[in-house]
Amino acid sequence: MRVLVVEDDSKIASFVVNGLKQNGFAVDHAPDGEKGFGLALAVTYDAAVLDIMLPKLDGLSLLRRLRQDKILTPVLILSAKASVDDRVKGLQAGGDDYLTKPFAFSELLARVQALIRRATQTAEPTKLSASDLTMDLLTHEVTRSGQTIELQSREFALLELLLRHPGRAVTKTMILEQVWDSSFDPQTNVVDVLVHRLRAKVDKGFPVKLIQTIRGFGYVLKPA
Amino acid sequence: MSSNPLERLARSFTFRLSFGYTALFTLSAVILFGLLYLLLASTLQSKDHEIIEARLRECAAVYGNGGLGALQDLVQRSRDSDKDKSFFVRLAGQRGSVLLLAAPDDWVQFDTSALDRGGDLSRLVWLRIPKDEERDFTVAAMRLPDGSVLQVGRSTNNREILLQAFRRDFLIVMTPTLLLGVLGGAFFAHRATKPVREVVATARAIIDTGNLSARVPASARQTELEDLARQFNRVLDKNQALIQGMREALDNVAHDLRTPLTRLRGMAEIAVQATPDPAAREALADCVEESDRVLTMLTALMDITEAEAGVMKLNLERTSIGSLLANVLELYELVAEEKRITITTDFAAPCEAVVDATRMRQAFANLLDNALKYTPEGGNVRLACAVASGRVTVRVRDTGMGIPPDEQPRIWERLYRGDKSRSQRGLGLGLSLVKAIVEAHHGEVSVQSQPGEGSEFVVVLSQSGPRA
Repeated sequence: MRVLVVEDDSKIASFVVNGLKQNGFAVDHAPDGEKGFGLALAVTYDAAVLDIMLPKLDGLSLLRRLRQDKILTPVLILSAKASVDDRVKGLQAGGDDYLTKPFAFSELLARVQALIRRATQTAEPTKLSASDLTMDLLTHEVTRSGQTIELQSREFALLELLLRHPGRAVTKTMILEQVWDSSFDPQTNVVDVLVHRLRAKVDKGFPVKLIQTIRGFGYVLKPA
Repeated sequence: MSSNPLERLARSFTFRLSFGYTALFTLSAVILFGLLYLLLASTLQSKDHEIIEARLRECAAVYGNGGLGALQDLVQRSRDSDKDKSFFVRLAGQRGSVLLLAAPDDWVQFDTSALDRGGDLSRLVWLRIPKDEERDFTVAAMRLPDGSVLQVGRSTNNREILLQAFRRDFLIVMTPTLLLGVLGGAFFAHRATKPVREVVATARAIIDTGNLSARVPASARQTELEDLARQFNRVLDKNQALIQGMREALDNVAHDLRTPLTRLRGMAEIAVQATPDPAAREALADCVEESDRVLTMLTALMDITEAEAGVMKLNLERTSIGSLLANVLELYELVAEEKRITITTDFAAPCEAVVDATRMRQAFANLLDNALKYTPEGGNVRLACAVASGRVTVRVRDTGMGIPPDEQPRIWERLYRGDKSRSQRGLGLGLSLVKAIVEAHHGEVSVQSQPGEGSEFVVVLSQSGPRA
């Protein structure tokens, strides 16, 4: 999988590029809009990460030109502008997803993967599993070591989210968005409460704990 | 803002202007007619008097020269000729005896004592005796050198008749005049106040829609009111430039802070994966948590500033406040369960208002967040929504520790945290944000609290939204 990163801030570009490389992507980096446009025309990418405020050619114009030239590479827009209006503008210009700075790298990764999955129309799995835990997406049945676990709908949604990103951190923002469909960050940590409940059902009584907290970054599903 | 359209009309400047114009117009017309009437009446009267006086002098001269016989001759002659037929002539002797009396055919009997009233007759004396509805008799009396009194009269047009005819003419002329005055007044007042109305309409449009680019339509004319519109437009230009500048400054600050935060967070995230040292990992986690805190604070401060400065963009839509509250509840039900707090709801249906759903949800979430945070385990939180006379009232009541009266006015301040709330997580921005969002919707938020018993936050919104 080949990904284009168009970002003028060298530090941000560096950790995005390195992070993607570590996760098995081939990555090209362009520090300005014109170079980015040139690369996007020359190479077929599976996805692109595009900053909005760029020297020479801004991200939204670049995106419009790409779409005019019928280049349909899925694009994740990165922006320091968080307002709904800016988000709408980005999506109207032809963006496929929008991520506001500052972001967690794990979230960027999850979104890029989702874009590629959507574009290549990978068949949706009907079963998710990790270690001795399995989730049937059709029957909503969850078992661990053959034991059925009864989950309430939000607990199920959280576990599904964790299982879809095995071994990778799922952030609080992602959980709020996926489980509650909420873009708003409540002061009280409702996510903690939900994770606490899910742990009580999934990990309690099992010697190997599956749900780990990575302080500052979120939660990850992996055997500890 | 008037309930009565008639009252509003009476208060309208255009109405008052045209009313004043009409009144002035009518008054001038009445005065003009009055003067004309007086002039006409006096002209007619002096004409009558001239004729009668000439006749009187003629009679007196004839009597002085030829005595009673000559006067009788004259009267007789006159009666035969048509011209002066209508004259009345009477000569009374010194002791009141009538020496001569000649009256025209239409001269009716009247009380001659009116003629003998004596008085000072050294000068010419005029008498007016009503005859019938149409005519008057005008009589001139004069004492002759021999002491007898000569009276000459004539039937003249009744003044009342004159007045009546005149009044009729006046009405005939005045009705269209008045109509013209009203229409003309209304037309000119409407035309003259057009710039004022345009200024008002523009101001209202800006306040209602938040569209700062609205301007009063330009006109090339140079009247004071057109100038008002032009100056008003200049004020709007300045305003727009200032607000635009402020919006850009806010955007830039946000952008300039977000970029280093992104670097900080990203580098910490990469570093934490590469570091096996637990102490270093803890430190990096702290960095990320603090950067998130800064971001939350930045976002909240930006939102508050935007809302307070009136530059917050609101996507207004008719929204069910009940559903919005239910949606907020979903987010917190787990937290409530965990703390064994009972949440009761009382949503009147349909509880609808025109709001920016995302912003309002944020405001309600902050209120519920607070309520849950400060309510001890096993307590109660009540959420209610009611509609009355075009206003939606949302109440969030808790059984928490309450807010001391002296702290109550300060809880809305940015970064203010009460003594007792310092132990809780939070930034001290939640209530400022609630207030800013509610006020950006032209609503009101207030608190009632008894220390030790709990608090109740009340949000009142107009159902038709901030535009109404």
